[in-house]
Amino acid sequence: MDARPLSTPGRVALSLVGVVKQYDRVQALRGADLEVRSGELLTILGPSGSGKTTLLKCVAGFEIPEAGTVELGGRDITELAPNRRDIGMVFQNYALFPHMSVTANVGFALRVRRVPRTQIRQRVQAILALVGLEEMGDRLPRQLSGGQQQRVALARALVFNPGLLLLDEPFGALDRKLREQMQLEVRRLQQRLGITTIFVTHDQEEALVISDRIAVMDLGVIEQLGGPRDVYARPVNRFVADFIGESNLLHARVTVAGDAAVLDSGATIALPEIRKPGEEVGLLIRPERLELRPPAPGEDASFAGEVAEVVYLGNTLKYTVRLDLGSTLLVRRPFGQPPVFDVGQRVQARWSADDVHAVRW
Amino acid sequence: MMATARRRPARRSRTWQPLLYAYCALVFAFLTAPMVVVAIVSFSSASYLVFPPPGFSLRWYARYLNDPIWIDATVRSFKVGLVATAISTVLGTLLAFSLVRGRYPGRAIIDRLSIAPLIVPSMVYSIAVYGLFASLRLIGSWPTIALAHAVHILPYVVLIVVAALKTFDVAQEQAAMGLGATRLGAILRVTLPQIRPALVSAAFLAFISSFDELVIAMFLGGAQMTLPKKMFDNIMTEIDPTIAAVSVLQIVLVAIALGLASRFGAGVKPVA
Amino acid sequence: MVATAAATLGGGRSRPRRVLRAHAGTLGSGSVPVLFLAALFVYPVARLMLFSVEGGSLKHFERALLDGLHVRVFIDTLRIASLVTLLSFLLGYPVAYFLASAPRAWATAGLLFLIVPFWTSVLIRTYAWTVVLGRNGVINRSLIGLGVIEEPIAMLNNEIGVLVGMVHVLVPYMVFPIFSVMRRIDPSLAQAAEGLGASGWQSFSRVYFPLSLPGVLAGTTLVFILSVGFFITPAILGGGRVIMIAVLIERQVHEFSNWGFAAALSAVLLAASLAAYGALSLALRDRR
Repeated sequence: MDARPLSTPGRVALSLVGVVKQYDRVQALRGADLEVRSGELLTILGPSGSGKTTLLKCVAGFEIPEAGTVELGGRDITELAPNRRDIGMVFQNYALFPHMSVTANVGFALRVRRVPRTQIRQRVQAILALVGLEEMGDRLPRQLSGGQQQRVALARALVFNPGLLLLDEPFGALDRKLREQMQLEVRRLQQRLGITTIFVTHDQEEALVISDRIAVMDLGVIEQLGGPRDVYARPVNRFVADFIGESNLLHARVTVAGDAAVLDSGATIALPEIRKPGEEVGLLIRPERLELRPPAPGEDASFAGEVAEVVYLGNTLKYTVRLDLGSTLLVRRPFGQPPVFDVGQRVQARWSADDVHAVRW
Repeated sequence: MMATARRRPARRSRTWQPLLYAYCALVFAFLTAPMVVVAIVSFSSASYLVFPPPGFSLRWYARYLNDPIWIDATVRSFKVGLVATAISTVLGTLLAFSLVRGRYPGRAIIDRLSIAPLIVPSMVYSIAVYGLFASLRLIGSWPTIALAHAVHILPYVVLIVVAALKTFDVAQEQAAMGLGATRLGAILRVTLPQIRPALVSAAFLAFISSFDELVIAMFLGGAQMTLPKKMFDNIMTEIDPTIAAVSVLQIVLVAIALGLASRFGAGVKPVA
Repeated sequence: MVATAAATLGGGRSRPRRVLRAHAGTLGSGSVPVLFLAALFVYPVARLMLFSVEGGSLKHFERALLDGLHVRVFIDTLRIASLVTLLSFLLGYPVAYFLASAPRAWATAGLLFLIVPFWTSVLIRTYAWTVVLGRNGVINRSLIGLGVIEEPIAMLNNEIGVLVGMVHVLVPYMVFPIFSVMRRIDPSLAQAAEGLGASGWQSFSRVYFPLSLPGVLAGTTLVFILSVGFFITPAILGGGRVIMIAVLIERQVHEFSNWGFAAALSAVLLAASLAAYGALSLALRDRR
């Protein structure tokens, strides 16, 4: 499992400490702390309005935070103008310059740096080859497909060998297939160049696929920072549990002994680890960790209920089970693996004690 | 122009639609007929105002072109118009950038101030600025007219450029800065080329407004007449059709300028 | 990892200096035009306003607002401006509707009929009306020629001429704001109303017209403000017999050099314009 950021032995490329940003009355960032390690791809994941784009803008220099510091490679860049930060950025809608050809777009950063012409040509060609667009140099952005525009934006952000790459929801405009393809492509390119990258998205699936680590944001603070598996399996609180993946989250209170929790309905569930007695918790059980069996009363670690809905999702079956205790559970089973149940059938939903994870309510 | 899909289908409107069209045709006739009359009168052979003209001649055009007072006034109006346009376009664009991109205390007040010359009646502004320049003994020199005209037309430029900047995606400017361009560099290389249509139409509107302006020029000009002042005097005192010829020339000039503006104002289409 | 507790900013109004510094460039770019406006707009207008109360007395305002002759001018001005606004609306609204609803080719042609006069100098258009409306003008000649009348009708140097000339100049200012609002009205709304059983008239009066109202407000205010301060048309077509306030101000300055009185009249005219503009801003704010 990944270590906590503050105990990281590896080199820190970028660090944010206590960053606060306010728009009129709204606090978009309420003291965000983050350390990005050299060479990693770190995803900032959060719903819209969580402050993730503001955070990115503070890193890029388009916003100056009211409080806190931003350090890149050990240098305080909090108030540095964006054009002096040496950070490559891919914008949400790419922000390609519509009046410039692909070559001119990609070469822009080199031209403003007064790199000699011949060298510009070589470097632009090289980077275009890297993203597979060497034939498209003379086209205008609007003559390209969405995926091609995205590659141009990437090439433009990389051509000047920036110390840091920022990706602001770059796949949002693409259809699903293309998006998946581009995700892998970007990941491969990032690893090949070894460039430290911050990637912003609201799509948790995308975050799980592409990231070395994920920072989950909500309401202007980073709620959790960890590897994809970590945040999925061991969310620290209700928000993270709910936001990442599908979840069954049951409200409960830890018993006096601390090794079990009592649900609102009065049922008791054993906990895999000791929690503080009396603590209010959410019990997280992922739908794919639940098993459905024919009714077997009196069994431990299970609830009796009735199938309320079955949805076929290609490779899985998604059940909604109405429990006799009153609440409902989502259950996901691989397709074609018996037993299979129909709407109205009585079932027993079972889990293993290790699959229960208690989070702060 | 708008998409055809947004046009309202004529399905239900059959009964009153001919009435609407007929009514609009009358309004359009009302709007254009006087100018047609002027055009006809300008080719009149009669030496006084009479309609329909007894015969065809170009004498009024010749008279205009050979009268140094008319030509002098026309040249002066061009000078005033060009200088006023240059000042107001540059200052108006600066102001628009400041209003759209800036976040500083007092911006709301500057926003109001920037369109105030539009709300203050031109007669009020004219005598106000006349009082100022008279106290400085600057009456009768065309550059003061250009300055006052620049104030008068500044709001148009600000309104047009602000509208263009608001629809322009700031991300492009940010992208340019992130790639290493300075703020000014980003604006010059990325923003201005793309809002050029707005700048062209603002400059065009500014020039025409200055070129047509009478009241300010009447007060500030003194003996130095601009074209509108000369036309005004002519209408008030004489009735020969020279002014009709001037009018036709001016309409043609505006039409040519409109054509040029729409040609060079053609913008870069945004990325889909 | 839970982030550090939110740092609070006192009241959220004050911004640290470093944020302001980052926006210094935009403030700087605005400072030149602002200084320009301050020197050549704010200063002279304020200076003029001071003239109206010269010597600390309100005698100029008393003369402007109490003297029967001048009250007459104010009333005439307001009456003419209101009439011009109303007539411009009656002519302009259907035209705006036509432009927003007619097939494209028709609408483009219509727009041309509006744009050409709009770009033509007010002087030229006013001159044109002297040719059309004069004693020996197009209309009188035609009517006499047709035997409809024997004596020419007086249409110049009176209010008829002023009204016609002003409406002609101002109709486009009414049409453009209304048109720009109308073209953003979703045509399916009127269709939905009709689908719900409204007659054509009902769907217009209850759905379409209310939606076009912001444009109507903007257009009428614009036309009213412009007509209250109008000078060229009343000066030429009024022939000295129709005195609007701008004409009066011009005379006070040019003929009598009576700055104090002219300034008081200007203050009243300015107040009326600002009031109309303020009312519009309020009305439009409520609709948002």
